[in-house]
Amino acid sequence: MQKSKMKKWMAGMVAGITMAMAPMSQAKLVNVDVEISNPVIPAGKTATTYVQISLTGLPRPIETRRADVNIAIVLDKSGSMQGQKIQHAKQAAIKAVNMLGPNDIVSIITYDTNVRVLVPATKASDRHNIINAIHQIQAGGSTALFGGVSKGAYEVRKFISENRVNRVILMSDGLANHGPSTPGELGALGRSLGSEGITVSTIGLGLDYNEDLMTQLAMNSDGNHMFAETPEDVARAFQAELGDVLSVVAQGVNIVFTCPDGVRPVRVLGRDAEISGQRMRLSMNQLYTEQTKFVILEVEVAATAVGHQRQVGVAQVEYTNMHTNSNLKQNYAVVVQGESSPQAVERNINKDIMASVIHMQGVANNKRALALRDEGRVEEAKEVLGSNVIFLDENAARYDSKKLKDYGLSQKGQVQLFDQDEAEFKRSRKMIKEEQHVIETQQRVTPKKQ
Amino acid sequence: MKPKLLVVYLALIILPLVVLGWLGARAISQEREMVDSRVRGLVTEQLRVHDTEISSMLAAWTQEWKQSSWSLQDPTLVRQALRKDGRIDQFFSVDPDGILVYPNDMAQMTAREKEFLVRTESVWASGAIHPNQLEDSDRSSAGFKSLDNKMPGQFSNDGQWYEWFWGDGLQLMYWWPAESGAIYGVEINRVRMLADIIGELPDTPGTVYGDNIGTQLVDESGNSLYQWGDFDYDTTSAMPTVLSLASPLGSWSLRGHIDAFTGSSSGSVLFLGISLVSLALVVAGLGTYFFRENTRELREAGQRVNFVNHVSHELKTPLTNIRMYAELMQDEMEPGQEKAGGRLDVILSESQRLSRLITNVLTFNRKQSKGLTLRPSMVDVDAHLQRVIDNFRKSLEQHTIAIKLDTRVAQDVSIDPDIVEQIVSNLLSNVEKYARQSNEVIVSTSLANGMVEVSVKDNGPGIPLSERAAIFDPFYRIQGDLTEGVSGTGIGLSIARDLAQLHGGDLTLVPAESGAHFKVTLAVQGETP
Repeated sequence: MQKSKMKKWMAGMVAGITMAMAPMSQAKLVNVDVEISNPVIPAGKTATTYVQISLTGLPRPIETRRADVNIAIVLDKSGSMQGQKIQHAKQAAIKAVNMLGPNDIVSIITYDTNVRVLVPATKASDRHNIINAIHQIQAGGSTALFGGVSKGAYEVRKFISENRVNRVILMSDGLANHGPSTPGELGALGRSLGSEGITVSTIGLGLDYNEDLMTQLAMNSDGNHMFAETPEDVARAFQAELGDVLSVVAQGVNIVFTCPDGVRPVRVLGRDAEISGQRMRLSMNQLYTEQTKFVILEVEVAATAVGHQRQVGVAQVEYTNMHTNSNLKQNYAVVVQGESSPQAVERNINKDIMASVIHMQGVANNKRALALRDEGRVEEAKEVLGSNVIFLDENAARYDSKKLKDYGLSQKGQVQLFDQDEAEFKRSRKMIKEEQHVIETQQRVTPKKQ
Repeated sequence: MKPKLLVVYLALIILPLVVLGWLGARAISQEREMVDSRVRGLVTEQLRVHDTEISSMLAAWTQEWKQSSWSLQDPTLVRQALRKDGRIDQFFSVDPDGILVYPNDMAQMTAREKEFLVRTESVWASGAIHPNQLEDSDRSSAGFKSLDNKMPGQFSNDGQWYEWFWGDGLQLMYWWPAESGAIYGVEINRVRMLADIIGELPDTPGTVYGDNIGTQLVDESGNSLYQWGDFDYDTTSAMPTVLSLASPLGSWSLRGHIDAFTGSSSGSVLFLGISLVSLALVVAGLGTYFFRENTRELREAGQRVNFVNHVSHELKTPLTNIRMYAELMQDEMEPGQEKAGGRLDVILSESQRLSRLITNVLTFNRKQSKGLTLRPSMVDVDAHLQRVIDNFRKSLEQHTIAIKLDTRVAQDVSIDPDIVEQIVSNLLSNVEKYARQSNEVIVSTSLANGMVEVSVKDNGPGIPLSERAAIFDPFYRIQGDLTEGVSGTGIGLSIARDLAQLHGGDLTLVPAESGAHFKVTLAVQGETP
């Protein structure tokens, strides 16, 4: 009996998935999976469940050419960058330029109190002159970060195209102190640029940059954020960033999830989304090869009768294939089925999705703890962390998840870090913010020298 | 004398320099003002160019928005348009009755739209964005001006800005008339607008220019949002040239900072400096030359005076001997030797004249060196004067001038006999020289109120009215018939008056109908030892 029911559910799920439109015939570059955490829900009562839409960039076929990139490298050359830091930043920028091809577009912007467009947007074929210009950078002055990003965006905009990877790479080691300087303002700029298709990736160097500003700028424009503690780390960060930039397989990812009556969209975990009535909508600027990005939607499903199937919603996933420059749109439906047996409900849980859900919730708890510590409520913050550790550990066991176990350990470690004095905590806070960003955006982890 | 001279010379050098420096400084400050205003004009022009760039950018934006099709029927399409346009935070629509119709469907509203309603609540309450405001503002220029050029009767294509302050500061909306009397509008993303403005504005291309010009974009609370140019804001405090941006960014301004006086004017300052210094050198050189010349002359004059003094002293002793032996010889004259006696008289009178001359020179020198002192003793003035007159009697009689003495003191008084003798001798010597036509000279004495008065009166040609004040000046000699062919030093009367004044009295010329009449008063000195 159990078996036959199982078959029935399976049939239901397959039916749901086959509702999706057949993928286009072009070379497949992105694998889309739309799954639900609880294909079986307890019958007769409203249930909260999670839909995960994951997009995996596939390895690029050898015969295809990578997408052209259009990047602005924005370098902080304020007084604090003097010495080792500026040397490494210059080397890293030169390395980045060397990685570009003749069809790529690059501009170099430096800023201190003033902003200088060292190399206006130009084809990277003239590499020699670009590198020469980078060599001449000298540190000094204060930090007009906003102006630097503005000029970087302006240069990228000159050649902005859906068929290029449009990106500003910002490297800073200090606090923005000229022009708009709050995380909110830079976040708003990031969102605005992101909506235009310009991604801003941020590399924070040393211990004196504003990690809130840098992560928010990156987050809102779907960019990467990297904490480069030492000048040597800058090269690694640039390398990782360029690795991503040069491996973009899809851009302009637009996901719309429409729920039928009886299903209420609640929220999207960890990402900025637009919820209007029965629709949830969000976007990602790009997908990279061999990397999975996902979004998790929380929905509330109305009471469902035993054995009755209910459609949770249809996910419409749209993106631009960067090799064929064609727009692809696919629909995926997900359904749930009501069942009275709690064991059946439990048995059918998608552990991977639940682990991701817990991971996101763990990050949210972590953010709450950090906010409390920022307010000086260290003990309360540690309590939140402590319960987060228990929450993660329990769920790691329940869902048999290594990433939850690891994150639990990381949280346990943070309990001690929260006791550090402000000077020591500067470093820890940057690592925590980076970790949050990496988890929320499924950013590739940058190798670090330990 | 010398320090005074030094002051005069310094004044001679410094005064023209000060005047020249002042004039030069004035010229430079005027030039500066002129350059300053010219530079400010240029800077303002440059700022205006940037202002126009910003205005054009915003005008292009609004044009784009007005031409977009906003399909209110399908909010998802509106949202899609917004997603692609990072410059807009929100789109809105107001119906002909002034009621916000989009976004207003609470059930379908996104969090972003709800936030929009919260933050713009006061805007809708104020009624500033209302279809009837379009016509109103067209008639009166009050309120918020449009950036577009208005064509008569074409305001249906016209839009307006609305400014309000919320959150980070100035927020902007742009709204325009849509079909059937409704209004469409957009809320601008402030940060993005600023970023794009910065994109349009120049950057700072290194320090290759070194022109010391800096420009700042300043927000409504005076914060610099962006700056470019090679300018050190920390050390230079010159007043910037300020240009308020055109509406709707009227509360923002562009500030041009320029150190206008480093270039052109430092040249003129340097020029003025160099010319002043060289002029100072020339004047100082000239001054030093004249000063040295003058002091040399003074020194030489002093040496000459010393020499004359010395010689006069040296002459006195032989002269005294000559007089003494001549007088002895006269006493020893035998009758019948009248011819030799007459010659002796000449020797005596000439040696007396010479000794008076020497006395005068010595007195004058002593007066110059403030060395004159009074040496009073009890003297029978009448008898003393008789002796003085006797010295002159012979030579006066040769010129047929009768000398009469009218004495009325008749007692011994404390007086300096040498001074009395010198004064009266000088006066009689003058009579002898200049009043030869006179037939008599009357010397009279009197004593009244402790003053001895001696008057010497002739009836010669007298002293012309115009010369009367000058005759007492040292070395002054009347030019004309009177002194023609007569030798003299010009110090006699001067010395006589000085001596009389030293003696507490005076020498005055008494107005007379004919001839010259001098009156000497001498104060009788107190008890003498």
